[in-house]
Amino acid sequence: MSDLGTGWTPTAAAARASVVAAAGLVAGALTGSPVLVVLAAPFLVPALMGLLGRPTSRPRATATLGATRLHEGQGSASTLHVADDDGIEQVTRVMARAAYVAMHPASGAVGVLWRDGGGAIDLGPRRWGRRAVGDEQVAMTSAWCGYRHGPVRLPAQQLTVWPQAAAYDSTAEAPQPDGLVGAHRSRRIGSGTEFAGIRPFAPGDRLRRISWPVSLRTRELQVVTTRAEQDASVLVVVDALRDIGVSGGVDGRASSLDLTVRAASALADHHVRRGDRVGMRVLGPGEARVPFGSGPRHLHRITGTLARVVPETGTLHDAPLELGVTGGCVVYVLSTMLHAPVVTACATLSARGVPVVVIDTLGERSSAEMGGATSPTGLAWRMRMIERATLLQQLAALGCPIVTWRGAGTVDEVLRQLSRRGQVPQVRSR
Amino acid sequence: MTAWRTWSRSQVVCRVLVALLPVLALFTADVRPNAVVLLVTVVLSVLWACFPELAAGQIALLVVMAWWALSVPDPLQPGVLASALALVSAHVSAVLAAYGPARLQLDPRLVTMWVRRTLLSFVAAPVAYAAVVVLDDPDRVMWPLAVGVLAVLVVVVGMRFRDPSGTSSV
Repeated sequence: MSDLGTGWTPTAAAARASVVAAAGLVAGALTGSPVLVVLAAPFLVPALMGLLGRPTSRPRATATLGATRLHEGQGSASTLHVADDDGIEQVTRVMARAAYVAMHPASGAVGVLWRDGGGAIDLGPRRWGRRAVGDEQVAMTSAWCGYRHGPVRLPAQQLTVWPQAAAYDSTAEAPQPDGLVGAHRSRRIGSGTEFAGIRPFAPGDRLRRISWPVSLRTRELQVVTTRAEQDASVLVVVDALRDIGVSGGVDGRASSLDLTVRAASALADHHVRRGDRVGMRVLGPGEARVPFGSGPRHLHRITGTLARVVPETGTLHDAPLELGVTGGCVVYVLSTMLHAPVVTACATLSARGVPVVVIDTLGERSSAEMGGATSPTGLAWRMRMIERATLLQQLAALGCPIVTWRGAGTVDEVLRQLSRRGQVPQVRSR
Repeated sequence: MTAWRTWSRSQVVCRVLVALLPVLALFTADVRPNAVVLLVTVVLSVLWACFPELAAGQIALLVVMAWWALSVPDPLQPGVLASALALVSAHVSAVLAAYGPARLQLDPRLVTMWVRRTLLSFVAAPVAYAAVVVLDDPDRVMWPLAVGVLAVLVVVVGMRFRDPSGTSSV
């Protein structure tokens, strides 16, 4: 809350009307020039009406946001409230522009009559992250623009913008479900519904599992076995070491970090809805870890962590990355794959037999976006792309699948391949 | 120097009026203003249009009024009423322009209210014109009295338009 301690001061308009009216009338009376009286008379009205209507109130202004947590693309309104508003005729609000926040009106400035409402300013965040919005100047004027209160500054408020929940769905099962109960078909025999086979009856088998037709044919008791249904652990690794490209917001071009964060949000949302346990690791500035968990509250925690990812270039170290992956966990690495430690970590995990899916979030980058094809930056970018292609080939040769993020069904095929591969004996390096 | 591109349309209209109306007030007389007066008025008006709260505004208005008083042979001609309307309209345009930065789009209801106020203010000019024409005798002592009565009338009329909350509805 800001106290408008500057008080009501006469406006330049009131001073101008007073000076012109007084000068015209006095000069007209002294020199006997009637034309001065005629010309100055209309200024008497705004001068007298403005100066006689001095308010005695001490307004206190506050601005509130309709919602402080939004998905990108959604909107909220900043509404002005004034306590002790007696004598206020008009209010002007001028809001500072914030990066990736659209405003209506687009100028961020409104000037309205106070009796018609405080002039709400609509805000629409266009990109995920934490945005400081509502840094504004407020001025109030009395009747006939005689006196002005302010302008006073109202501080900015923090708006948390969650990444847009991209349309994503997958029909593939997790390759190594390791939980207790869930929706994925396990490789272990258990009390599910998926048929696994028929075997002779053993002490402890439930009677309802006996297959009577087969038992009559073979003349000994046979039971039907089924596969267990388990949940999976999914680790989403977010590479926030660099943001490549220019973000155009939710409706424009996506930078690499936009693709990464939105894809991570979509994957986490999908797996949490399926009942899986999802964890997250953010690599880069503001490094964060979210332990494995499930349920809507956990999803809320993950999206909140994604909203806090800082799109800044952090210091890169060549030290090996320790992702803290345990066995029986599917790892999604969302990365531009431009940094050797990330590539090395993927290769190491893949060699250990951990199902790793690399989701390439570099996106299509034009040479113009990278400074032009013939510029030194463009040349360096092309060389970097050649190195990256070689690294990705080597990674693929190690058996680590690499897919480009394209929304729904991005990882279906590779997860099926990993499931089939998981059913054959493997040699794993420790 | 591309800041003017961010100006809202209503602000551009207001500032164009601020720049033009004082000059127009010179041309409502039946004599042409001399080049110096014209140049000074144009410069002051343009300055006023760019900075609506600058004192250049009141100087521009006073220059026009002084020119009418000193250079027009027969100043009590009907054209003086058009000049008065132009001057008070320039003042109100500057009031509207000064409500916020140049990118502020003016509320149509606010503009409508000030158009009504301009007309109400202008009513004082024909009343004063009628008064000075009727009282145009050698005894010019009556003028201040006429102006005083006019001012009181204006205030009384204006107060009647004030709503109970203290804000004017005119």
